[in-house]
Amino acid sequence: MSDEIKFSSMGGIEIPPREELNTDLQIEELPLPEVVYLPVKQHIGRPGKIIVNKGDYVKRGQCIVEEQEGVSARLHASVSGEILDIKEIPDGMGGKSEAIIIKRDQNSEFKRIDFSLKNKKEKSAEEIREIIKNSGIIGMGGAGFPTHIKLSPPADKPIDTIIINGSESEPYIAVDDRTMQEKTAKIFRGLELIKKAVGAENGFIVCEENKKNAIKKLAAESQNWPELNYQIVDSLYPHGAEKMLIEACLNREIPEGELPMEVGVIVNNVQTAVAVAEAVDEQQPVVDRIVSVSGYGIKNPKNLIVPLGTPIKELIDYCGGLVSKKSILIIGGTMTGFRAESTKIPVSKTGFGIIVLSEAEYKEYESRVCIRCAKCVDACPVYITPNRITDFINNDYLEEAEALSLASCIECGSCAYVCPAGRPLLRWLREGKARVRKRNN
Amino acid sequence: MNLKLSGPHIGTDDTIEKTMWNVVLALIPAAAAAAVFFGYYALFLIFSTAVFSALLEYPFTKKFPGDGSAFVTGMLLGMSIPADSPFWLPLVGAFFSIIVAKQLFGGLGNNIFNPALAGRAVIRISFASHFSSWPAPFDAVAGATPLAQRAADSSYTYLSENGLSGLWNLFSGNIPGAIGETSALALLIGAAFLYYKGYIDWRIPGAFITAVIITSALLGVNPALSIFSGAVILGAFFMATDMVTSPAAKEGRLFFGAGCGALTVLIRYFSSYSGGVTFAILTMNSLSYLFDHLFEGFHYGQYQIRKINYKIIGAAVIAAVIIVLFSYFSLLIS
Repeated sequence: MSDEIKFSSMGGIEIPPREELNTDLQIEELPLPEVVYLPVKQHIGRPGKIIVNKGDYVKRGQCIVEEQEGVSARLHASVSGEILDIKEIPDGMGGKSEAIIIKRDQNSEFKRIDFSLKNKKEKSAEEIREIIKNSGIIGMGGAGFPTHIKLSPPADKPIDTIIINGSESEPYIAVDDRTMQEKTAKIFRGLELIKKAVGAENGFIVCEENKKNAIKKLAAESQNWPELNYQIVDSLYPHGAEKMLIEACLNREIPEGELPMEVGVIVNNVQTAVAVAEAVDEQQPVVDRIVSVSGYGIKNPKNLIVPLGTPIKELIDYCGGLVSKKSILIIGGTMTGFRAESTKIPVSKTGFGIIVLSEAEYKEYESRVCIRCAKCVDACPVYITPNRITDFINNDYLEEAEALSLASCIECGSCAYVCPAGRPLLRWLREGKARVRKRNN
Repeated sequence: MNLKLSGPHIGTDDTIEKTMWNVVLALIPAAAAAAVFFGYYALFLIFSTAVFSALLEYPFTKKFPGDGSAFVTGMLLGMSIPADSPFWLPLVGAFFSIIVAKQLFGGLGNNIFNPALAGRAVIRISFASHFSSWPAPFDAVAGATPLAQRAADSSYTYLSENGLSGLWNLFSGNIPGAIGETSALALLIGAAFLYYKGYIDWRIPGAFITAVIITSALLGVNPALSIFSGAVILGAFFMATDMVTSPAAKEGRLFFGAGCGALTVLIRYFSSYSGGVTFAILTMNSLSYLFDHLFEGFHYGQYQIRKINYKIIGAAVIAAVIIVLFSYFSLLIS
């Protein structure tokens, strides 16, 4: 399978990928930071239960937050050292969240997951899910849904296909790209394990056509995995989103408000697949993640492997600092991420990028009057009409906005990207969703 | 979440100004063709109207030449009048276009009717004598447009009289008609530029032209004559595609274009006014928001109900009823 799938009928926009920045840079290891700030809740769902106290000594890889009932996930210490404090810190989205602060000592001892079956060669589906849960793996492409929950669908929803998503489609970022180039075998192994964990028949890795080197690696590696495959798709944004991928690759549409398992599919990010492979084969919990530090506002862009909880200041300093004081700092992608208020915000499991934009690249919103050019309508991958919905939201007609499928919005930002009137459509859509949530509570 | 910190943090360098000035650029070939066929006075009419329109907007926007939308309006208005019009004629139209049809409705983005066409409709009706004869290119002898001759004498067919060279004259613009609308060739060059730049969508012009062809064929008019004589090309690619006054919904654009095309031919055939395109597009402009509502369409994840597309069928019925009623009344009047 290598014929490219194009799905331009589903909206989407062309964004220059800025591949000259990070695509060809080897993943480097960031030196361990002195202090890490580990947010307790890095996933979607209920926060976990803190099982350590101030003053305790923890080892790298030791579990410090245990999952609760329902949708919840574990967290492990990313450095060895003493717990300085447990308090609220800025979360990088304008709010605050509780974090565990650990001061590193010189001890670099690594604590593998304590799992009695670690010497057994072949593991059963339940055992794989158990390991995934104990390793604190969550959707590492940005969504942050706990993976062990995702891999335990109810019995009446059989899963036949696993998609490993390597088409990150956000510009600047090269995390998935580099992972596919450097950890190809681990991705296939992760896919094999996930497939086994849910008993799916098919499994394939999806990669965008503009990632030529990654495609070569996937093609070579797929020879060793006769049951697994890879698929090339076009590189329009946001076609890397799971809804779009499922429709393009399998021609299945997820009913409104449902999850991919409704149509028998589970989508995982390549990072998640690697984490699964590392957890099962090397007994290693999630303590690091790969982050692209990119943009024309940073002196030396790099792809780094970073211990969780490292303040982004350390990453920026390691990359040579900012080009100018007026540069704009963004956490996550330039399309969906948030502007950072401070450089103390830590890297979390879902934080795939730190982007420093020069002033010229940054889009200032003017909120001029809509000229009904319909570019947002054409760009929208879920066929909603951002111009009309935001009009309803701004005038407080929430029910009308919901009737136009506000809930279907995947918050990709394509509409605001193309708007010639500089209207912050994504902010308004998020605002509308927040108001609907508030009203429903 | 502090949404002021939310993205996207990058965007296209597209702005309203860029959009409008690109439309001006796309109209340059047609203006040049007008200069060739009708002389420099035609060029003067186009640009004096455009500059005057931009000036008229100054009290409202405090900017000159502003965002370019008034300039586009003025150019289109200047291009839709006969080449021997007195200089004040398009200026009167521009006043109505900019002040009444646009700024009194709230300015760019809030106007319901295409300002250029609203202005043209006013001068077309108020100063009808100036629109009765159209100067022919290259010589001073004014005559009726092929379309008007066809209307006056139903046995007249421009094409069979003039053969292939007639078709070429129709296409290149060597026929009597309004300043900027006769040269389909020049207009299509501009339209191709706009399409390439992504400022117009294929749906409205495509549906417009298709509807003109079908309706003409049904009424026994030569479709080529319908398309190339008169303002169909100018209307389909530059007037009906006006962003503000056309629907944003995708299927809505198709029905909007089709309605414009069908009404154009019906008005020409049944009404005493030759300005079919003007009144057809203005009529459809008034349905623009309705079409946005009717053709909202189904969103991702609503495939179960997509097959039974009641809304589309309903809207098609409404559109058909409007067209039938309209043509019936036109028939009564004529």
